[in-house]
Amino acid sequence: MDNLSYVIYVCLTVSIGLMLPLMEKKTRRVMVFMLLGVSACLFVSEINSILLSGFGGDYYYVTTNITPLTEEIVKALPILYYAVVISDDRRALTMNAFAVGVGFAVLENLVLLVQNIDSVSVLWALARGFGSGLVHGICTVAVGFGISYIKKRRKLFYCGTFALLATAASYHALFNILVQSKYQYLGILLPVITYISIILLAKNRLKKLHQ
Amino acid sequence: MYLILSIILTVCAAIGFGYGLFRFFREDEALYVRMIVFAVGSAMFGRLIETLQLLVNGQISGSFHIGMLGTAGSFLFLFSANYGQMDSLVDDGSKQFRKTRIIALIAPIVMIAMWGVLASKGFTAKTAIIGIETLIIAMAAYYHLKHIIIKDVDFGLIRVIRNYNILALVYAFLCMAEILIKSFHLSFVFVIIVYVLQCAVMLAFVPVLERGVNKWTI
Repeated sequence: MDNLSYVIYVCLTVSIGLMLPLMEKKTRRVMVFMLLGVSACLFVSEINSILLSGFGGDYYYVTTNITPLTEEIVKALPILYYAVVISDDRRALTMNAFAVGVGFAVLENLVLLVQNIDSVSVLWALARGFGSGLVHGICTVAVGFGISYIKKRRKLFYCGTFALLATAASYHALFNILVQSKYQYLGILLPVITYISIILLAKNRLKKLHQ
Repeated sequence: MYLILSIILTVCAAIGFGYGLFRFFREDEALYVRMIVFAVGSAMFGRLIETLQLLVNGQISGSFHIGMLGTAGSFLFLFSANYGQMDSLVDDGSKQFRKTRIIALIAPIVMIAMWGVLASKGFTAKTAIIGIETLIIAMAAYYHLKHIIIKDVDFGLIRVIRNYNILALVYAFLCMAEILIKSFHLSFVFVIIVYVLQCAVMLAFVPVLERGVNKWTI
């Protein structure tokens, strides 16, 4: 069972990867970023295992204080690369960032599903899907969206990126603390409320732009 | 008692952040202002994490806790806004402002000296982590003091937001004071004073900035 995450990773990436040449350019780009998110998850799981043993196996401390930071940093790497090397177009960055976040959440949820196969239920799946799925998406989008603003000025870029990562990691940690406490339901509500707010805000903006 | 103070401070930061989102998140708003709103938001997340950890575990354990990132992120936003957006408009790097630049160093020196007091107790992993946080606070404090004392020769942009910069400098000092008070386990009266003042700063941050920024268009 040690290689379980690798098995799932191969199953996912090979089948999606084979589909890539048939896709349109824009869709392909989003899918590539999703695969990068899946790969980021695999990479982070190794880092987190090392960190967990480094912190004496204190699972609660590591998952509420350390992993939000490592996960946000690794998820931001493909977005940073895209922003610096390819384009800082806001729309593309936001879409790519969300794809990375979702890709990350997909592998994370699948691995957890297989590890807890005896105890999972549809309710568990809904909680994981809406909770962790959205948190990863929202945090990476926040970083991607923010980078599209600060990328234009070198002086802003470096510190601004750290500031965005710190905020995203704080939000992520907030979720991790909540879902491991008796206020679990708040943990699931947090990303859902954030997501709805973002969607409403984005729709309002688009409406104003069209007017 | 810590929990109650932490809850009050989180609520104040949330009100400040909410007000900032409500007032400044329009398409045409300056990035400088948005970054300051995000600074309040980041501080709010940090405080919220501390509150939750107190609520769930009854204490904040470990030499590093993620709530520190909220404060660090907050000052990184403040620093980026001043260094990346505003400073080049008021300081062209000429000799004319050399004196201002030197005087402004007082702020980071004070912050680092406060950390030095902590480090004199013994250098641990926690001291090192607080040292990094102090460095970020010190960097932001430098620009806040600089923008308070600088002679605004060209645009008058800085002059109108001087009160905001004073407030931000006070906030930097309060954050360092909080670290020292908690590390040395000083009287709880000091904790209450620092928390109450931070609440006031969190509530006043965006309205004070707004008052100044409104004059930019006049």
